Amino acid sequence: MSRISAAVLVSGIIVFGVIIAFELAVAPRTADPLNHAPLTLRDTGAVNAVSAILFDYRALDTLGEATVILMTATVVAFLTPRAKASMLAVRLSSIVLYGVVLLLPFITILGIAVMAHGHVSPGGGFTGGVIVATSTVFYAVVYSVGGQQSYVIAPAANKLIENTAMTAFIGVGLLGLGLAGSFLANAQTGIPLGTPGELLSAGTIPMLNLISGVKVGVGLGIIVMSLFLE
Amino acid sequence: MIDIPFGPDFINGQTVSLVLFFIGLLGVVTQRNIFKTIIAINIMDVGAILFLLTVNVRPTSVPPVGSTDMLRMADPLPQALMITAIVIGISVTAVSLTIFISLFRKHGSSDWTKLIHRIESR
Repeated sequence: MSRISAAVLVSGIIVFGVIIAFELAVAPRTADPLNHAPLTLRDTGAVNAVSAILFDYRALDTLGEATVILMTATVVAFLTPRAKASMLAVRLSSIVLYGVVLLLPFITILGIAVMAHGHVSPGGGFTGGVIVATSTVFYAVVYSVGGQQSYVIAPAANKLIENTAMTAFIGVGLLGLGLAGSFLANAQTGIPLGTPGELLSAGTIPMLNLISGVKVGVGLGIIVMSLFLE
Repeated sequence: MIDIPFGPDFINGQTVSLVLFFIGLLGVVTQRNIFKTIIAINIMDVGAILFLLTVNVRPTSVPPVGSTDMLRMADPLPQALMITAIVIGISVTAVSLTIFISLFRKHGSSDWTKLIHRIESR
């Protein structure tokens, strides 16, 4: 172990001890921080408080997050210019081939349902997008014969969908800017919030859920498919 | 005589996450294999996410989804912001793996010191 690593270890242990000592010394909490959970139902009409914060209070952060996925997909696809994936040239048994055919529609429908119910139940755009990306990866792993990747959606269509979803997210934000004078505004624009707990409620939150779900699904698909290309 | 409370209460999310973070830091500093370094960065990421999720948790709180007991709901803010951290962790892993693959393809080694030596002696 070199001198630098020993220094980092010792300083880390010292910081750890200080934090634990502080935690034990100042154990009784004096005041609770502000909890957003009781406010979200009144402000946004969304039952899921996490979704309300993600797509209403902190929607600009979510836009940044979507930009991070777009940028990663771009960089990874740029750095892997090869068209052949030799690690996929494996012959699988017929149980796998036919089992995946049976599973794929259910996985996709589950992903879309999780996206659409993001404001009334646990889940949301990011979780649903990851489930949809799973179906893409399944298909690529099982049906890529001889190192040639096979796609559910062609790469050019992937690119188009990703860019359209990004534009739609910004479009919803500009809608809030036009109607209420603030970027990504939800309840202030006058969009009816509906009855909490129904599928069509909570203003722009279901739209942003669907948009970010499509974006995450396609983006993660691009990332994983590019990493298959060695 | 200092009474050290090594009970069941001592092993909570905060202490476990700090230990995880420093295990990851040790891996980043000591490992010579680039792939192991990327895994160590992932462990540090998980430690940070676990710390921020459990820093204000109360044992009696309920999930912040559709509960009628408004005042006992857990704070949804760290849960919402940790999605950002998870997404950035995925992005960092994907980009660093891609760069590692192209480095390995060009210079034929996954060892930091050998790679730096080969690049400098060209």
